[in-house]
Amino acid sequence: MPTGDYANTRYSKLNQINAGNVGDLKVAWTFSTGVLRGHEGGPLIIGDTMYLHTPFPNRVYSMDLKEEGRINWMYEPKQDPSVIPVMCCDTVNRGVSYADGKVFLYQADATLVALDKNTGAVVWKVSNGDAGKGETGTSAPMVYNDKVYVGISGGEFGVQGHLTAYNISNGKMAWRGYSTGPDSQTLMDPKKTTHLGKAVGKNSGTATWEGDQWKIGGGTTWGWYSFDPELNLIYYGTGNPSTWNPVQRPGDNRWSMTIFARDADTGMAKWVYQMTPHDEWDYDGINEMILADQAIDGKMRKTLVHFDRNGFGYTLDRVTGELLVAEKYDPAVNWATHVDMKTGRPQVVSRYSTDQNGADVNTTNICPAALGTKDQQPAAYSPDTKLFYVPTNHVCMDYEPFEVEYTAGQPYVGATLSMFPGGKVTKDGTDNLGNFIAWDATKGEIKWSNPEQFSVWSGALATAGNVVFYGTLEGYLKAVNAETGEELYRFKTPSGIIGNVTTWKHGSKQYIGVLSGLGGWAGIGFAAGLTGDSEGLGAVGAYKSLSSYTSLGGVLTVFSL
Amino acid sequence: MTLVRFLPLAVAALCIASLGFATQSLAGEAPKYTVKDGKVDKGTYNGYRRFHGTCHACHGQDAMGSSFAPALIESLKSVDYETFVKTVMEGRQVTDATGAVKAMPAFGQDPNVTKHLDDIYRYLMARADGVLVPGRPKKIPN
Repeated sequence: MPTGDYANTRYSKLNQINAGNVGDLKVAWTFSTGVLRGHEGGPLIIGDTMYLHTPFPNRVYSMDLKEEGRINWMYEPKQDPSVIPVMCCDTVNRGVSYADGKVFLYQADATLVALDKNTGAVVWKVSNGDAGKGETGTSAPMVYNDKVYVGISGGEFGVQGHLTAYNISNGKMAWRGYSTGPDSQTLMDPKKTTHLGKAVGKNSGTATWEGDQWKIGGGTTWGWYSFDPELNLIYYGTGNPSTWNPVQRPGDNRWSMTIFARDADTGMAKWVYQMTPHDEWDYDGINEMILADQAIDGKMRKTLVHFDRNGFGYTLDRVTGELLVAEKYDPAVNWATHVDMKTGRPQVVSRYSTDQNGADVNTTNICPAALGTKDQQPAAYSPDTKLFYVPTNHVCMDYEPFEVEYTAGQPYVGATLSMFPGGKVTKDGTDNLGNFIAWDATKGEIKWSNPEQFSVWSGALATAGNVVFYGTLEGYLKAVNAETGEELYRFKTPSGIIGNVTTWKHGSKQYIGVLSGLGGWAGIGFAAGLTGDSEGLGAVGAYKSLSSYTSLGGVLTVFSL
Repeated sequence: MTLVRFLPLAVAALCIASLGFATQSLAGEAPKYTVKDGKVDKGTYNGYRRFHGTCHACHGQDAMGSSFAPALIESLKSVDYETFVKTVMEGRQVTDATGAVKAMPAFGQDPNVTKHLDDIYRYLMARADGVLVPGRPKKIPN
C-alpha cells in the first residue's frame, strides 16, 4: 500500500541514509510520466518492481528497478474526458495498491480496476460511482486482508459520501457504509455505535438534517484509510457537508466531518467522532488517521492521531473513540477558542461564524482558510523521536456564503472565498504560507516549526536515520534533522512537489523517491498567487506567484547516496 | 458559416429561455459593467461572487487562471460575448499536441451559473479591461 504500513505512520526503519550523510544524497535516476497535471501520492515498490500512477488519464507504469526504471508495461484506461471538469481541484490521483498479484487503480471516473502485476491486463473492474453525478475517484485504494477499500470524491457536487469494500479475488462488493442516511446505509447500530461513549441513537445519519438534504449531504471519503489488525477496525474521515452555504442546511449534518471506526469485515461502525458539527468553512475531515501507541499521562494508550483541516490536532483512544487531546497545531487558528473535551464540540467564535453572520455577508479574517491548516498531504510519525511531522498551510480567508440550487452533476458550492497569508491576521510581520512542524500528540504541542514560503503540500517521510523528508511547492526535496528540524539537504526537482516522499531498499541501497508535478488545489493559486498583493500587506514581493519558481510536468526523481 | 455559428447559439438561448432567464445575447449586446473609484455596480459584484462560487475552482482566484485552466482576464480580451455564452452553456474540449485533453463542462443546466451569466460576464470584462483590481470589490452605494 502507498502509506508504507497499515498504521499510516509513513515511517521507515531504513537508516543507510541518515542525518550524518544525507548531505551527500545524489540523484540516481529520473522518470517523466508524460502528464502535466498535478501529481499527488507516491510510487509503490514491490520487490524488483515499481508501480507508478499519474493524474488523468490515470496511467500506471510497471518499472524494473534493476534497470533504473525501465518500463515493463504501461496501462492507460479509456475514460470519458467529461469526467475532467467534475473533479473539483485538478485531476489528481493518489496512487495504487498491491495484493495477491494484483495492482489496484482507482480511476478518475470512479472505476476500480485490478491489473495483473506481470502484464497489466485487467483482471476485474467495477464501477464505484457515477461521474455524471459528480462522483469521482482521486484517492488511493487501500488493501487489508482479503478486501480493497475505496472512497468517493465530489463534496462540491452534492454526492452522498461512502466507503466501500470489495473482495480482492473477484471485485464483488462486500459492504458499503455511507456517511449520511438511515442506519441501514450508514451501517450503524443505534445502541452499540458510540459517539464519545454515548450510543448514537436511531437514524443519527438523517436526524440532524432538514428533510432529504442528507441525500446530497456530501461527507465524501477521499483521504487515506488506516487499519488496526488487532482490533480489525478501519479508520477514516469524512468530508464537508454540501453545500458550502451553512444557512441552507441547518443542523449538525451528521456524519460529515467525522472520524469513523468501522469493522473491516462487516463495515459496522464501532464509534464515530464528529469534529466540526454543522461546518461553516469547508473544513473537510478526510485527513489521514495515524495509529500509534503512546503514553498519555503516564499510561500507554492505543491512540489515533489526526491533523484536521479545521486546525486542531486530535489524539483519541482508537479502541473506544475517547477524546484525549485536541489542540491547535497552528497558533493562527481563530474560528474556535478550543474544543470542549466533554462534548467534543469546538467552541465557535461568533465573529468568524459564517452561519451566524449569515448568507450574503462577507465574514473576514477566518483562520485557517478552506484548504485547512493541513489538507490531504499526509503527516509522518517516528517511534524513535515520538514526534509527528506535519506539512501545513498558514493561510486565512474571507468567506461569503450565498444561496445555491442543486442540479445533479453540477457544482454545488454556494460560497465565495478569498485567501491570504496567515500573517495578515496575526499581524506578526510574517508572510509565509506554510510551515513544516514537529508535533507532540500526547500533549498537543508544537516542538519546532520551519516556516515555508508556500503551503507545504507534500506528504512527509520519517526514517530511522533520524532524517525527515518533505517537498515544497517551489520544487525542493528537503531533508531535516528529526530532532531539531535543522535543514540537512535540499534539491530542486523539475516542478513543484505535491507528491509524498517514499523510501525503499533495492539490492544493498536505500533510495528516496518523490513525484514532482505542480497542480491540485495548490495549482489554483499557481498563476495568480493568493490575493493580498493589492491589499497593502506591506512586505515587498512577498507573494510572487509560484509561476516565477517552477512550471508544470510530472517527474519522479530517485535519490541515493 | 453564419448558420453553423448561429445554431449552437440558438440552442444556448433556448436553454436559457427554458430556465426562464433572458440574457441580452438575443439582442446581440454585451452586458456592461460600471466601475467608479474602484467600486462596482450590483451586477458586477454579484458576478464576482458567482465566479468565485463555481468558475474559480478551475479558472483561479480573480480569474487569473490555474495550472489547468486559462486566465480569463486574458481570454476575454479576444472572446466576444456570444462565444462566451456559448462556451459556458455548452462547454468545450480541446486536445493539445501531446494528446492531453482539456475540458470545460457545459453549465447550461446549472442555474447557479445561467441565472448569473451576464453578471459573471460583467465581472470578467471589468477584470479583462484592467479597470478592476484583484480581490473582493466594493459595491457602489445605492
